Amino acid sequence: MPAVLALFSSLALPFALWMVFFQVPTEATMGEVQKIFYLHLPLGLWGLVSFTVVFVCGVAYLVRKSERMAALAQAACEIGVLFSGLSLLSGMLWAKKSWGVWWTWDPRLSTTLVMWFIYCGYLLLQHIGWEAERRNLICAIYAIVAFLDVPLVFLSARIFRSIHPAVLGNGGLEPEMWLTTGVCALAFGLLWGSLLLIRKEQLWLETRLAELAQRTF
Amino acid sequence: MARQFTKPLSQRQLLLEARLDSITWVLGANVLIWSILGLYVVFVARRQQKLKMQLQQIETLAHDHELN
Repeated sequence: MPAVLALFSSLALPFALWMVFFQVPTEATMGEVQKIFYLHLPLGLWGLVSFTVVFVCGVAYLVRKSERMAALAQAACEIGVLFSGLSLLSGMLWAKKSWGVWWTWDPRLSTTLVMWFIYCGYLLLQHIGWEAERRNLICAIYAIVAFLDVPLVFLSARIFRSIHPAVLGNGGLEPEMWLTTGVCALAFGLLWGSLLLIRKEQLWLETRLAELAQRTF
Repeated sequence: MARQFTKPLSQRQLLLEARLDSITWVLGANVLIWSILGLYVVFVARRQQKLKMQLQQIETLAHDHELN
């Protein structure tokens, strides 16, 4: 399954990039720099999906105490931190050109940065030398509490006065732009899925090997 | 009324502005983002290789144990 997803993503990502650079019309106000949007939105979107997976796995771990769930949560968090970090970075690059500043303490940007730090904290917890069961339990509880920030990030541009536009559900894009956004989101989704499954298997195997080493020596 | 003068851009600043036009900026952003994603993929691939080697070692040890 991960190999199939990786194969599809290796085909879909170049196609998505071709659409971004050669197919989609240039936005009238911002010009070419708006093309960063086609990286920025899918990265942010899959980052949020990752953290939702971490939350679901946290709940599932508390119910079933499954090692696989703990491995999936850790993998999802790792990829979530990567994707949301890249979303922040691409947003900063876009902001510098269109707003004239690298960063502004806007509600959407601030809540996203807070979320990023919270999940960096989760990754740090995973690397503290506790025994596996205790670590997994604490991380599961942390994941559930940390998830409180995720809906806030999604809704921040709608609830608060924000200069960051809320694109999903508000329209404002041409049909060709929506199509390209969809293709990019799908292509990044395939990459996300393949990375998630590969990392989950790796982390689970690492745990098993560590257990085996402890029993043997 | 006093005339106002704006500080003229230096040769270096003019060159930089000309270089960093929108397309270059978008391309630069893409290179940066894809490079970081690529580094993560390399990290995952190296982890996979390491795990494969560890599993091979365990299989060899188990095989030797069976023979003895």
